[in-house]
Amino acid sequence: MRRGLTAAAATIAGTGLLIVAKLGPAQDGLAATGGTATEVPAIEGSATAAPATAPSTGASPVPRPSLRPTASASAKPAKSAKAPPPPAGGLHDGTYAGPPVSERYGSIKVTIVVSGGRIDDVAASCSCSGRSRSISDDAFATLEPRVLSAQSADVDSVSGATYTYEAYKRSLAAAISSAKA
Amino acid sequence: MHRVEQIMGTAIRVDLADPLPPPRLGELADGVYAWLREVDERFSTYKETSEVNRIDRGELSTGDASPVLRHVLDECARLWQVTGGYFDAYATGRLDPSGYVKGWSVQVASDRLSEAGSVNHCINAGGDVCVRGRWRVGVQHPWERMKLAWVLDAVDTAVATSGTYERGQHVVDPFTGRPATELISVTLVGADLAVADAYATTAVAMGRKALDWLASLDGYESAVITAGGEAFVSPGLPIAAT
Repeated sequence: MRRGLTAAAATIAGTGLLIVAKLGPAQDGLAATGGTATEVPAIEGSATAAPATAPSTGASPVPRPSLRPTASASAKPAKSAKAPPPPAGGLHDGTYAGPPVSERYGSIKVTIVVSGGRIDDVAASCSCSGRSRSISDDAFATLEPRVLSAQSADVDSVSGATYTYEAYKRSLAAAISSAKA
Repeated sequence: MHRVEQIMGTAIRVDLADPLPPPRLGELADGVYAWLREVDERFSTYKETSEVNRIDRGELSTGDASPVLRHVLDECARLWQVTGGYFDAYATGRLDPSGYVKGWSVQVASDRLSEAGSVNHCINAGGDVCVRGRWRVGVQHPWERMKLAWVLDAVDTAVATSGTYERGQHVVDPFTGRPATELISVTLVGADLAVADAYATTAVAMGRKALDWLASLDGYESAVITAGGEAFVSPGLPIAAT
């Protein structure tokens, strides 16, 4: 399966079709500065032309919790029925949002979900500005160029760059404080 | 069963999917967090009395340092060599092995869980992920907070992402002393989270020339997004089927 993916991608690259994705400003109601949204449809067109992304075999049958890209309180899987554990951290159950804390590139807002007296989930959102820039044509690399298409999917975990330490910490601390109140 | 705790300035989530009694799973999770807190006490550059800060101030010689700290310094030196100087624990002008410590400590935690009988778990430390068993791991889209750039089929592997989109140009190019800005997100997938994390940071520091370097790596697959919005992947990147 993976070999197939690779081969298909190589074919695309081999045709001389340089696939680059221009990103428009951030979507979904996030703050955006500058850029034009008209670049986005071009990405969609390229994406559908790439057979490499077509579904082939079924996904793994492994049972797993369904965690959203940025876990929101409502996306949390239901806990199995059991007696509530004793409050461990002295926190009141509920969902608490810290204030947005500004950083150079946007503001970070942390929300915590407290269950059984301890933090059960942490979600952070960043209203960071999207940037759109024309692409230099000197791109030559031994990695394969690919379409960068934003997608939503149920995943178990998300890998990403770490939030700005101070902003994240301050918003989180405020959320924890309100859970103690 | 999952838990979230705040250590090393970030949220660390542990998911344990093994069919073990809940009290046992709780013990295993406690062990993970106890270890990570111990690491933070020793290696934090924010804690005045940490061993790293004592070495940085010259109060402690590396010869007298703890075995784990010497191990970390040795590995940082090895990575400095294999990355041509781009992975540099002194890039900011002082001793700061944080770029190695987080990935390393989470990998150690995962290895210890495996030895203790947990072979289906996922640890996510602020976006650096280590899994045993099979898990779907998304790679954060750098500009669209609620979206993913890729979904990976991760089996007994580590996924580390470094970038400039969250911390704001945090990675410093050790050769110029200036923040690296050409690559906005670099994801490495491979057996060891310490190495994956260090390589991801290295690639960000390198900038565009990392595209060739990443392609030459054995055992580590990669996905790169440039500041201009271009995307690149290595041929063996385990992208999920759907």
